[in-house]
Amino acid sequence: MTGIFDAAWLAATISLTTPVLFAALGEAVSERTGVINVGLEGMMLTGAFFAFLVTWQSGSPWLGVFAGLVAGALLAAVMAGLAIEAGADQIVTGIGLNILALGITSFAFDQIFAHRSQVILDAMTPVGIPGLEDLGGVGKALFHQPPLAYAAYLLVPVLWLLLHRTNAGLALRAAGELPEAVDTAGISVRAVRWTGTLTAGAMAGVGGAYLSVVSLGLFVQGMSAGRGFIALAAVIFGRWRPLSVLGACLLFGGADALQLRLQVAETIPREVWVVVAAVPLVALAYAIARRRVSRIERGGVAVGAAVLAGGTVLAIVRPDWSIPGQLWLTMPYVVAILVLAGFVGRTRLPSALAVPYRRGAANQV
Amino acid sequence: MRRGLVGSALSLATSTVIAATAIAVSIAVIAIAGHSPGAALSAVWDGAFGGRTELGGTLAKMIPLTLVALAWIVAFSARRINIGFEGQLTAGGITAAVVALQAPGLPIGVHLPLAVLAGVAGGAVYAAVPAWLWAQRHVNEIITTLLLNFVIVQILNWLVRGPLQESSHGFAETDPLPGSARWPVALSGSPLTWDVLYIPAGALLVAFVLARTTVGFRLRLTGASEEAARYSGTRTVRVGAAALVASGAIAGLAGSSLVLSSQSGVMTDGFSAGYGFAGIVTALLARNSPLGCIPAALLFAALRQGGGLMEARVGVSSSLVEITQGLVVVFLAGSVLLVARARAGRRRAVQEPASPVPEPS
Amino acid sequence: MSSSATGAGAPLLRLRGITKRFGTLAANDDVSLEVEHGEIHGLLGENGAGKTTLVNIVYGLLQPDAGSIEIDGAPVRIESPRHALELGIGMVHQHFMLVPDMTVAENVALGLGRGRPTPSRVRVVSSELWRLSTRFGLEVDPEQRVDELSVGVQQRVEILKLLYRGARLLILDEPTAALTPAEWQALSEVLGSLTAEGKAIVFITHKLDELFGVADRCTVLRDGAVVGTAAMATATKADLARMMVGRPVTLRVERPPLDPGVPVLQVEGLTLVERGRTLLDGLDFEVREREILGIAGVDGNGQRELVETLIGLRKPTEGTVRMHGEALEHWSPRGFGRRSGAVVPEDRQRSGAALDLSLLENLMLKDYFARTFSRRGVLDRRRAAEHCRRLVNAYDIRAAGLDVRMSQLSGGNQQKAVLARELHREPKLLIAAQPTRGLDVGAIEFVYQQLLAHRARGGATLLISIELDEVLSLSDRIAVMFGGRFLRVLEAAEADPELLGLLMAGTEGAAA
Repeated sequence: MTGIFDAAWLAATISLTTPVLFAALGEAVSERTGVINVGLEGMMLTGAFFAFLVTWQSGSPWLGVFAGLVAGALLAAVMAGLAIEAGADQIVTGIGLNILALGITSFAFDQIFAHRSQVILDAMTPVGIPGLEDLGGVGKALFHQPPLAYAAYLLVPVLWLLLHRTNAGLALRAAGELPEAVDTAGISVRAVRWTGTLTAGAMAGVGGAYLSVVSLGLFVQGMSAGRGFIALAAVIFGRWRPLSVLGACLLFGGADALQLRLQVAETIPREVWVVVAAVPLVALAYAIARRRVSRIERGGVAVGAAVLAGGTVLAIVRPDWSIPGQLWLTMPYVVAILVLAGFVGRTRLPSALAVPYRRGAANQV
Repeated sequence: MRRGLVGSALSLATSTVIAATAIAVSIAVIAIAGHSPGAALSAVWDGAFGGRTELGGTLAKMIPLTLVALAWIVAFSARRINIGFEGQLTAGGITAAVVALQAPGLPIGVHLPLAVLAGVAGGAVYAAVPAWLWAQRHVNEIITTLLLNFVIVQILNWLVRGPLQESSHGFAETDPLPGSARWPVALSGSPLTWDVLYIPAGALLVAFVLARTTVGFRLRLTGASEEAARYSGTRTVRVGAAALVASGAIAGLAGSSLVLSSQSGVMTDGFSAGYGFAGIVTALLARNSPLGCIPAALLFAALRQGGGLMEARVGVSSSLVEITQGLVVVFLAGSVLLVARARAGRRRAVQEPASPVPEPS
Repeated sequence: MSSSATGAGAPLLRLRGITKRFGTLAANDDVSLEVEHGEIHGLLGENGAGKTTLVNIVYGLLQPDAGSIEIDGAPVRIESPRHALELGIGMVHQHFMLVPDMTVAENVALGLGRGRPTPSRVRVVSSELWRLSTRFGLEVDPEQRVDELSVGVQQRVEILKLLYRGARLLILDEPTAALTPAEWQALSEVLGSLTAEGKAIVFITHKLDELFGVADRCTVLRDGAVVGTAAMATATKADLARMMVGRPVTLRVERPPLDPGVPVLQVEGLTLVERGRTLLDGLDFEVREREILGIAGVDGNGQRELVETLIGLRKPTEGTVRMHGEALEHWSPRGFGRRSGAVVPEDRQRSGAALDLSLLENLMLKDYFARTFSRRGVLDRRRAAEHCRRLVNAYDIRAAGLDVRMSQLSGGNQQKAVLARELHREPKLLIAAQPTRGLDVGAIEFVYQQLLAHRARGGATLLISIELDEVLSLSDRIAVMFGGRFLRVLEAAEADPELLGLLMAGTEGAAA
């Protein structure tokens, strides 16, 4: 951990990743059940506002986080009602809910706070994990966090267990691929999809609460600022698997933290190029570990080789470049699109994603 | 080749009821928030139509709303879903601004059309990416158009702080665009410029193309039934991709308009101002009727324009406009169900029992 | 006192007087049958004979309008598929209900514990599956992902799924549709080992050959009613074929003899291979002027692919297609139309018409771009309306107006519109696929008249139909299509329903 990738970078990465991770994990579950929630952004924003409001009123950040959860879930309930019960277009509904959420939170904020001076709440007190906290240079950065942050990372194995080791998980995974199979197994597809949608809304709400009351202690209109869409991209990049979604969120968070630090750097430090050159090697190692080498496409090999060569050359030459932070910020979306297009590994959306389920329609293939 | 009059009347009635309901709920919100709905409404009215400046502002806001709504309709007529207008609009604005800034000294008769064309091309090219991915690599265009919005927004953020930043390097905006590349004012003493003609021209042109030309027929046929289109010799993939690109071109036109008629005369970051999504809501309220976009855009433009005065005079947050817009979508999503149920019921009653009802995909 | 029927002697499943109506159509009409323990019971019938409706009733997807169901002599009302499974009835659908990216064991475990967040015990399921699969000779690796399995193995997984849940009666819906002969051989052995343990199997098919050597008895359905139940040991193929298709011809068609003219369509060695599957296998035939070549055959034997290849939607892998003697290359539906070809697609509501467009637009589907109806890309609405009014009158299309949505027309009027669109230019070649599917008697008669009028005008016709009567009464020559090949091309005079029934069921013996 030297140079630009120091403990402060690590700490910033964690704090930028955590709120997105909440939303992305919930959305991964939702998309697994066949509901894509473009309204994730709005649900984060709603969660952020109501968490802030309730914390300000009650003085308890925990009550605030709970309020954020409920607010996100309520908005998701509207989504579920329209998309699952009424068969409305999920995309259009999600767009509408984003606009509605922006309107409601901004309106209520103006209404309640416009005539006050800026309200700043105490951020949630970080809690250290004894033993780990004092570990080397990174202990403090990783293991001295607000309690809610640990919850986000604990949710990764919890959701993995839920999806892969429980009966509910089987139904959740099947509902987005072949809802007919769920139905014929005697489980209500509607119930499964409601579960997924509400999970996404509640967790996006918690992610929003994390932004407002845990890390900042204040609310700004539109403060989710696209994080809901980053979460959507992370779900795609993470291919709907909790652990990979965590990886995607950390990558995006790490890049974001890096660009914040690079804004002050004159040129891009050598270690950044080294990391860039290492990415294809890590990907290859992963492919070997998972026995996927044979599935790598020619395009993937070309891209990987180019990145490796380019990164190596740049690390040696160390040109006097600076890459604007704004361009770093396009990375999550570009990566998600490349993944979807099959340039980086192969992936496909859950087969029944955004398709309303009607019994009997299945027989007419 | 025109839809049944009964159908249009029904759509008009539904849209009116939905808009009225959304406004009624918004009024209730005003009342609950402890303000006088009457005062708020009259402030919105005055702010939107009270004078030359206000009226001009409302009409000016209709331009991007109408164009984006038309862009949605063009893609949707072939049942392709483009939700990347925010991005295509931004791309069009950027290319228009670049042409405006890089070619000074041209006469307005050349410079302005050139900048407008650059905007159209920018939007089209930016939409060609998801169109190509959809046609060639079977990537869902909804998600790619959505994600590409955020890429170009960041590029814009960089441009106005980097290569295109104004000479003093103090603000996130470009230098003033030369007058030869700016739309002349149409209504003196107001922000309204002559690009307001896009509204009637665009709506009429899209309506005409869709209803009365072979190109429009091909789009609608592909949208109505991909299989029937294929069997009658339509290359549906090509039509779908073309619809996306055309849709992006129209959004690019909207972007060029926002930049080339901006009151400050510069391109700032975030100039798209949410028009990319608000335009979709406009099209939805217009029930995908090109001419219906005009009244729908008027409603939302008036709310946007009048919201400012409402906030200043009555103290009701102008964010109410977003609440109204969001409610319109939610109510529409709900009502689509009712209409679809009624239609499906009728269809089933007419046809043989085992007939599969084709789904627009 | 009513215990007479219950007890060890009662059949596993008994249906009495099952009737199910859809509108005016009786899909099942007073159907009664019994399935004994340890029996393989064939359910034989043409497309639309009511087999699927019947098993959907037994499986709890549909409720009968009249009649009763007994299991082991006890009357039951089967509420849902889940309830059916609790009663020991399971079904293997033609389209497998397997989630491709889950393992075999996970697929079997789906639905256990009613989907609660309780541990899924996939391991336990997995070891139980090993046990079951060895016991019944179903070789399946429970840990493999379903999308890595061949179709035959997937089918075994479906059967295992039901066995795991304790099904005693297995309904197999056209289980051989996608199987290779070797896979079918393996399946029939599995079925034998199942019945040895007292399980009963209902085997739905329209292929006669498969039942012999596997089934114990077979019930034949026709037009929703039971024609009879036969013991396979004593029945002959000819008997069953007659029972299956031998309905009296309801429509008499006057087909005056005409001398065929020169060939309009000539096909040599037409082969279509897509994704490793041979869909068309070396077809040779020609259709001449004033001639109707009928193609009989059960659905899904390559008919759709043949039509799509001929009109230029699919590119043949091998072989040549000639129209008017000219060999076609890289043609499209437009090119097919320009060479005076017309097509009535088999799926009227998907490929034949765009239901959400108006009647006028549907009538113009293939003409809107013609010079008569558009100038520089602008449609001439007046001319189009005139033209369409003429078609509406000439073809007696009943509609409230030209602007009515196609979906609001009856099936018969939709088909009349399709015929009007395709025939008004008096094409030299007409391909008509299932032209009367789902139509009432009046509309069917109209379609027949139009086909014969086209023939009388000197047009060539390729008629593809699963309705044997139709093929028999309209065709001058008849081919039977099976597995992408023509088993035989017969002159109309030498064809009779029995022979065709045998050929349609894929009996190679009759091909000689």
